[in-house]
Amino acid sequence: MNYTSPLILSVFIHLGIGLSFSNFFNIDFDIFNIESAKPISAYVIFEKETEPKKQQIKIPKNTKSAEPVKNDIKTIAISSPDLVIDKLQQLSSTEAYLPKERRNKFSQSDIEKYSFLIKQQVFNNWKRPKGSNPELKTEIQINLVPTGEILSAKIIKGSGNQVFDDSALVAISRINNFEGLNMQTKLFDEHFRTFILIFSPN
Amino acid sequence: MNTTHKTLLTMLVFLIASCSSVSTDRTNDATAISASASGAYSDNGLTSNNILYFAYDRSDINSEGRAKIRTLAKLIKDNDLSVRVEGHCDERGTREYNLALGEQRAKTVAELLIINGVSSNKISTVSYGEEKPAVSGSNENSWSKNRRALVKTF
Amino acid sequence: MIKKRVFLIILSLVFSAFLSSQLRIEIKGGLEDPINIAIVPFQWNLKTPQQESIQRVVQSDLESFGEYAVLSPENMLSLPSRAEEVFFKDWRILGSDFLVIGEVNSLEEPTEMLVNYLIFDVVRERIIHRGKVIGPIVTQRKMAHKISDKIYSKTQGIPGIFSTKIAYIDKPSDLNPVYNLMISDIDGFDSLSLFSSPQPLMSPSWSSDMKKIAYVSFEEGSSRIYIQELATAERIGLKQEEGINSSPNWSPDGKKMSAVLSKSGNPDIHIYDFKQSRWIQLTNHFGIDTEPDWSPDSNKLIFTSNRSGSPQIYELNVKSKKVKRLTFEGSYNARARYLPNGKEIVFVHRRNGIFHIATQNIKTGKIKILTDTTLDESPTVSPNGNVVIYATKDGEKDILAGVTIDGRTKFTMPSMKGEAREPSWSPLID
Repeated sequence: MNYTSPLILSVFIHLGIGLSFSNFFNIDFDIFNIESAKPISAYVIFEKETEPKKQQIKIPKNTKSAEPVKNDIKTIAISSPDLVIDKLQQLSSTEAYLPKERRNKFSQSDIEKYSFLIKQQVFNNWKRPKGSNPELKTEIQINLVPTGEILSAKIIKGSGNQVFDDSALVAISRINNFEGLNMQTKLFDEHFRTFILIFSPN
Repeated sequence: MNTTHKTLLTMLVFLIASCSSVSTDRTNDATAISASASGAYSDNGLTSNNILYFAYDRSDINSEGRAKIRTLAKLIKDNDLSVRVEGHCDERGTREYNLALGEQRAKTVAELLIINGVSSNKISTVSYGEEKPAVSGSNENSWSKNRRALVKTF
Repeated sequence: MIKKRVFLIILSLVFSAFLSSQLRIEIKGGLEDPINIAIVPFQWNLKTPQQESIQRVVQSDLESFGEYAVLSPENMLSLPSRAEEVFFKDWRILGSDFLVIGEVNSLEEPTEMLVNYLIFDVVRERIIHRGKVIGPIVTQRKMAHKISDKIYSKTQGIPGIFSTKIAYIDKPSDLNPVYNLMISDIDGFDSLSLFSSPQPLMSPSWSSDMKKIAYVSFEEGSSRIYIQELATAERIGLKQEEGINSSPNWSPDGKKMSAVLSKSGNPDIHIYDFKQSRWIQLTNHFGIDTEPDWSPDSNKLIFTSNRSGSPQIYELNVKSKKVKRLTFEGSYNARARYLPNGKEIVFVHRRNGIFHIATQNIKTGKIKILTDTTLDESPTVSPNGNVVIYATKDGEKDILAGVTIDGRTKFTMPSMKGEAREPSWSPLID
């Protein structure tokens, strides 16, 4: 009985399984995502010219502000389809042009957008009790799963007023499952898997 | 809700049920008791009742009023009468403040009587604020009739 | 070299802390909608037939100020009276936030009864309070008010005021030509005349232990301050001085009485020292100083003064005698009362010739008008700071009306007998 070929096959299978679990074979689709944080080289395609010119769009190295860098399209002197110009304009307004330190952060507007959804849903389910001294503050840590379902809600800082604290917990119990939180996994993991809700009367 | 959720919830309910508050109250049948008075400020021996009117929020007397007081003062001196000046207000504004305003009105009249020669120990003043209106009604016609000082001679 | 490394480590720690700080979302305000509550008619297990319905009194109490929407019993899917009979789904379907159930049982003493009740949080399916009330069967309304108080405090976080009383003056009518000093429950029931007189009565003021009421009586011809003990009807008149003797106001610590005397020539604020049986003058100004009210800590007095030309509210430090002006808006601000938190005042504010009840934050000076009635006066605040009752007119008639401190719910109190004026809210009793 020849054990070598099955052995080799088994090793390769196990290797393959092991490597696939270790993300070796993962393709990072993000590099093809136009909204990716990584800078990408863009190529300008000319319609009439004999040979397409490859032209890299320069990324300034020392931008301190988060403002997108404006591309001076006119100097490229092309008569290309509008689509290409649109793409260029899109590119120039993405986070590709953020300075290095901020490249891994999500846009403030994304965080704000989902925060607002959460805020709205909590607000509409929270009946504030009367005895609400304007200085009361209850902080509750929320744990979610990506579907928006609330795994747990824990008071991490009570207001000192039990009825007020309870009213916040009741609001969360009413919701049970946040709606509309379909966001990128990275954004979810970083900001929305665990977050803090602060309840105050004012 | 799956079974783990359910068991967790029941555990939670038991835990928290033991933390719910408890209280005992008692009521009793005690009540308050009434009293009453039957006294009155006497108008016995009243010889005349003269009225002077005032503007809203004001305690000063116009020239017509002053003339009236001058005549009254003479009458009082000639007949050795006693005087009681009562100050009143219309219903607008707060009651205690009106009690003070009524007193101002009564005192203004009393001072004018003294200037006109009436002896101060013959004069007493009292304020009823808005408590004893002459007429009822929540309009300027009624109000103007209530802003008054009564000069009662005995 | 090491310094640089340490610096970089610290920097990266700080930086990573900054990066890994949790998202904090602020929820400000919340809904001010009424709380949905279901009160199941209590099971009556006594031999004597039921005269009053505890459920109805509690429902009426809770509905008084627009803060609760009480489920009508005919809409209930089940009528539990014990915890094991409660199916939360029955109440969630009806949209209830809270549920109250109870039963009435007899005691050894046949004239007494025992009420057991439970308050449930329907959303989180838990008991939040177990309560018991014991007392004579004839005091059923009182017991129901105590239950209302408990429900209120457990769901709103502030004490309920359904066991408190209102003192007020009842004007003479053709049928009854005397002035009466009245006290009654907040719902107008159980009203009683404490004192009656053919001459005017004014300014009732409760002592903080609720055992005495001070008031002004004209029974001897001019104003004099009297103190009457509720339990015995014993009255004592404070030493009457020349001129005005009025506006009695008991200090919260029960030790002093502030009032207005004009014996010095014009009305000034005085304090009556009970130990020495004498008056101590606090303000000395040639104008009108009147309507004092003690701060909750008994250290200050607010009062009305026209020293600036027209009535405004001033604050006096009792120890230092320093006076500070509080109101600057409008030409007539008077009869101020502190809110129990000591941070705001409620008072009569005239705007465009109309007398309203308004509140003002002492620190910021911000004014908020609460009423849309006219000719308003004598505001009095509930001891939980939530409701203001005041006197106003309905056509020709003197009536009492009220408004919640946030201005959202307005109501009148037609159940008060006769024509009522000068309401004074009692303190809370335990």
